[in-house]
Amino acid sequence: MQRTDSAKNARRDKITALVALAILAVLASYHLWDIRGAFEDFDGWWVYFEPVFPGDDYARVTEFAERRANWHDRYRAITLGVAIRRATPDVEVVYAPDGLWHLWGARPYSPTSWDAPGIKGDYFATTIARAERTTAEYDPALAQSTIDTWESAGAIERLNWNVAYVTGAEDDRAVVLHRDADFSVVYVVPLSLSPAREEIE
Amino acid sequence: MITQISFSLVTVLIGWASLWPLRSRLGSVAYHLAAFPTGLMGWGFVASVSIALHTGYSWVLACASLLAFCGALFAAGTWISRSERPAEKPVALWSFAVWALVIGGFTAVMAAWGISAYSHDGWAQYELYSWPLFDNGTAAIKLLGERMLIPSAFHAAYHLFGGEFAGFVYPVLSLHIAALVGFGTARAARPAGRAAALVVPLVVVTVMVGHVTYLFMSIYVHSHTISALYLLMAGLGIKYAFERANASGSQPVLSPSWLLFAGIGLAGIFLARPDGPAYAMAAVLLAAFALVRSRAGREETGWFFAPTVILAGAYTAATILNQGMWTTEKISATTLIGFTALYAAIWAGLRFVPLARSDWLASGNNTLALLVALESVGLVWLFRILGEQANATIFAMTTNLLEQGGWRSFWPLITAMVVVSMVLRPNLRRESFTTALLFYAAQFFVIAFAVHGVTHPGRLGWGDSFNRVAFHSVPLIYLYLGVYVAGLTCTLWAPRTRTES
Repeated sequence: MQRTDSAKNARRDKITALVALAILAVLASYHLWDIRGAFEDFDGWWVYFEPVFPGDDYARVTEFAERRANWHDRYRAITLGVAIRRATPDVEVVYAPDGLWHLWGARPYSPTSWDAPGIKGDYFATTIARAERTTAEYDPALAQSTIDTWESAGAIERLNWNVAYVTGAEDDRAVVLHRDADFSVVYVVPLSLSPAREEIE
Repeated sequence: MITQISFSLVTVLIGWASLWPLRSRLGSVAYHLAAFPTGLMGWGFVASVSIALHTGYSWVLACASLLAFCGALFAAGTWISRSERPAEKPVALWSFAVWALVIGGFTAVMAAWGISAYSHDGWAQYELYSWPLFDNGTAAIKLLGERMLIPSAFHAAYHLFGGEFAGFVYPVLSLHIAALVGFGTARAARPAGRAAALVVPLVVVTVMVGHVTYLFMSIYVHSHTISALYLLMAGLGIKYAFERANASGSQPVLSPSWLLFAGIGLAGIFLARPDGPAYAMAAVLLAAFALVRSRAGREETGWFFAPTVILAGAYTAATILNQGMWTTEKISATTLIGFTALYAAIWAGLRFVPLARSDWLASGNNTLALLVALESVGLVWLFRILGEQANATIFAMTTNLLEQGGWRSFWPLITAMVVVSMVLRPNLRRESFTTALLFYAAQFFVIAFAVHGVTHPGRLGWGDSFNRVAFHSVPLIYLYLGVYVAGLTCTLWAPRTRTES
């Protein structure tokens, strides 16, 4: 008698298990079928931040970052910091004019000001650059001929946000921040290559 | 690409070295799967030392700190291995090569692909604050108060290898989540035969990773994937520690090796996010059930709590040395001290208070029932004091999960599956600890409601904090479902024996 009960129970359990598996299989199939959205309407299916491909490049990371109107200084300052590190890996000093806005053509009260308190562009730049910023009196404007010379020698590496750095003096421990004549591009120049070297020293 | 591969392999190496004495106790799969997450905790300790000394990362600092980290875990493992017999076959040497190839290869593919996704939190906080941490051991207030330790710590460690942006780590974390869910399901399906142990986890993992939210979280630079991984690790560790106790006969002894495995997970949850100390409480409650029911000895309790109390204590002390008694909106030094002390107090309570050893609590699921009852009272009280904000929180949570959070049909389907698992429960071959796993996942939501109800009710849209945090529970739910499906498979195909539920 006990054996019969046990066999009955086993049968009932197996039927229960089969029913449960069947229901779960239907639910799971529907669940998995949802992936078709990726092919039919990707933007409706993937509502999150879009996948981007910056690789190991922090400067490129800012290129793909979500766009917010008042964050331009952050993107540019981070890129500037990356450029400083790449121009001279062991950088210790960054010579800059009194106010980053001098380089960027912004107005003095712009949040890009180097000395603005709180988390502003300057903070990002110095954070990434790992260097002491020294205010220096010099003319940050580069002559077009100088830029052309470096360009023709293949010594200019251009990053996004109109930031560029000059290569060829990687052993320098100091860089100077320059700009072009129309305030459009900021150049990170190793001290030994900077036209303002004598003014600064 | 060499930079990324080197980072991944060194991180695995830290984990291998730390857990070396436990390899035969955990078994080769769990040992290898625990290596990377444990290695990341190692980088967290390096960050704590760097913050305490207020000095930048160097190989000397990293090696000395890692030596201390690995040494402490190695010593703990050696102590455990004196009393706990190996449960598994010795870990074969070739498996180290295979695992290194898997991690190295996967890292190489992700590095070559260069895929990532990030919000401001990722590119301008987790990543940005890893630079001053790496350069001179500065614990930026934003990092301390809004982001916590572990993600920025491994971003900083990656700079030590010459890398700039550690986006590739997140897919590697996701790989570990999938593998751990697969591992837990395969173990449960093993009695039904080799085919079941292969097919069932494969299906469960495919369904999990095939969902859009999982795919997004696999590349999203934030604290979610890592929190989900550590939450899963803690749950699995407690489950196997408990099952070992159940299998050991009339005098159950929790497996210290698995408790330490779970303890590393607990420390990870605590240190991965500013609200991590609150979410880690879900694992503490699950562990409390397992420890009380198994009448755990004093030493066993320690293996679970020690990693959190020591690592969180070290981090808290380091930040205070660096920044004084810092305060921010989300978390402050005082809050961190309070949470660390709370965990130490629970450890002491479970170890020394006689009530924790009462016969009634140790019987069946009484501890779980008591915890649920206490929590229900707590929730009613919380609803009363929060008033309208509680309703607003619930509204934002449910609307996001069901409509606006990007989950699509995920939650209704998962809820249906869980309901099926609760209604259709054949008596044969039911895996032990299934109820507790469900309790664990539910705990997470209760804590999430409390955290968000008290701090902010949330906003509509996928970017809402709770909506993203809900992902942490997803691997746990799949583990629960995987174990359930494995149980069904065993009911159909395994030789008949009765097991406890």
